[in-house]
Amino acid sequence: MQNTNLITVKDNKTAFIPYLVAGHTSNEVFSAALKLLDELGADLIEIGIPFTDPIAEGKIIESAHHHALKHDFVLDDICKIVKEFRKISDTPVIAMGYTNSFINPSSEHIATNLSESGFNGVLIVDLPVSEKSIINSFKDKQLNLVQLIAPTTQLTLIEDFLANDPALIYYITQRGITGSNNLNLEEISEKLGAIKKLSNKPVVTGFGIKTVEDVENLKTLTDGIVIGSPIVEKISIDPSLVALKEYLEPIVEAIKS
Amino acid sequence: MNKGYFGDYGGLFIPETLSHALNELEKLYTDIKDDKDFNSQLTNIYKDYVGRPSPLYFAESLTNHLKGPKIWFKREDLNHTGAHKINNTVGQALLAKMLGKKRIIAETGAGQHGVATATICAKLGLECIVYMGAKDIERQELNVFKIETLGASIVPVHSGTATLKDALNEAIRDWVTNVDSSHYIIGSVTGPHPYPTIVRDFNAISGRELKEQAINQFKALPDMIIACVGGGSNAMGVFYPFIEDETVELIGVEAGGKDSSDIGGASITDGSTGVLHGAKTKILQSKSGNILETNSISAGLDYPGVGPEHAYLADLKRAKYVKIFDDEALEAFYEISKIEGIIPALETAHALAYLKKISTLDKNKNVVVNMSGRGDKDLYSVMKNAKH
Repeated sequence: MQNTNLITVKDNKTAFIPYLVAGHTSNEVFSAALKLLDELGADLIEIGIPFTDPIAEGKIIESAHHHALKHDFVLDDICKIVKEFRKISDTPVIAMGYTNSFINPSSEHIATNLSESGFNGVLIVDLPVSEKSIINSFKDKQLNLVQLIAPTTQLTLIEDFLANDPALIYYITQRGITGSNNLNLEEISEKLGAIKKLSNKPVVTGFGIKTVEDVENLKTLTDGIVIGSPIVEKISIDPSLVALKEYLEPIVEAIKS
Repeated sequence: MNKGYFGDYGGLFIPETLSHALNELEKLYTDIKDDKDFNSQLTNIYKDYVGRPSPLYFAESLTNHLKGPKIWFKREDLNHTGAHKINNTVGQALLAKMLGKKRIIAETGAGQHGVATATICAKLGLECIVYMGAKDIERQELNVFKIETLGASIVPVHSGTATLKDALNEAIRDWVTNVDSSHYIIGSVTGPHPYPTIVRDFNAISGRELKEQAINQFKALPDMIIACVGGGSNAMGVFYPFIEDETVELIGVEAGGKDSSDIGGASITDGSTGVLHGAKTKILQSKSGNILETNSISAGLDYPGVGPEHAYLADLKRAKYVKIFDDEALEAFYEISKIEGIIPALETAHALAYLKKISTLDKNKNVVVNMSGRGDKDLYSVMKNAKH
């Protein structure tokens, strides 16, 4: 059953959308982190599929990708973990990554695997909207699409971005890679306003959001806040996840209050 | 055919932040590629600064030595900075100026593209940042020093395999961050559309000259053109004007690495279809689509992908792709130096090594090797290896 929305926008609540890397620092830690994020109140969870050449990622996430690959990351293992997770939670989960991880051995094969294990959607960072045949493999398996829009995107072209009927728009808050420090609130506010006028899809924001202050500044502007690099960093430093929990509790409180 | 595709290959697989910059680049390039002013500026730089046209040289001693077909060298090694790479960088630097961008980013493997970019940036007063894998910095010391002498900054890349592929990743990351102020001069016919087309067109000057020179010097088109292929820009440039001439056999020589059990860097010969650095092409990858660590004695061929148009020419069987191992390339490196008095780049030595495999061709045939670069940059690493 395809969700028309990966997140539900209601009562002016902002969604908390954590990102973590599949198989990082081990399958056990990843599985525990997935559960912890859910317990802490995640509304949607992004699972990064490790890739050797993740060109949109900063050092923290890139290192986690490489670490997972070095420790024999296998997509099938992640699918099993998500399948188990589905027994205890309905929180939507999407796979986020790079085209080459989603077309080998074929996009149909990957779409079937993801769909059967309980993934709800895909976000493929470097897949253009014009690649219909790849996109349709995921749509055919009832996987929702997340469409990225950047500060440099020409909104006159927004029709093209909506043509594949994404469930969610993910606005990239800055020119840069994940984990950067260039939040420009004025530009973000202006762009989000413009996108909202052109589309009725929920619009979430991510890239460079780290602190309670960032969250306070953004939460009234957006339907959801994605936090990635700080989560991955905390998992790298402390696989027991105590540091992750301590970091996220005030963040989640700020998002939801 | 879809926009930016060569058959099934090519496209624009990039983070959305870059798509506007690539659209602008495509628009500008479409508008000015036939523009008189632009082309006269470019022609002047090619002539007075690069030293074009590069000669077509009859390698008589080598021809006599191999006792096969007549061998000719298209002397791209005589260009300013010592390789074909400058054909592309001068063109793209002019484009960057027209786009109003004053900061240039480049990646480099063997260092030749870094040198060629730093050179034209110095001339045109553009800031230049060159990303280079830490492993390549070690084996291409001389070019590192050249790049710095020319006033550019080198950023060492330690992540992943610390070679060309990772330098490209970092260059793209810089571009995503500084897209409004910066132009990325990619060094080969790789990357997202429109780069494979732009880099091919600027390199095609060598192929166009060769066509004219061949008619003048041996009254016929070449029977065969041989060029080394890493990303494939020198090969694409020299092949392109001859694609329509079906009698001309086109041979792309890829790096085989140590021996047949080695991974090498032969993306067409040994690879499969995938997406890397913005394009769908032939790549060396694992079953799950992760990119493999390549290996070649030559830094410029040590890359797990190839320009999408080469993948297309291979599918069409219009060009043939073969591989040469490290030892064969080294042997050619020494042999050509001694017989012709020309020290070739290790990349070019791969193309030269293929000559041994065609010595049974008719003596009246004319075979042209695209002498993509000179070997000065490799002397230190060859010398170090020789001592071991």
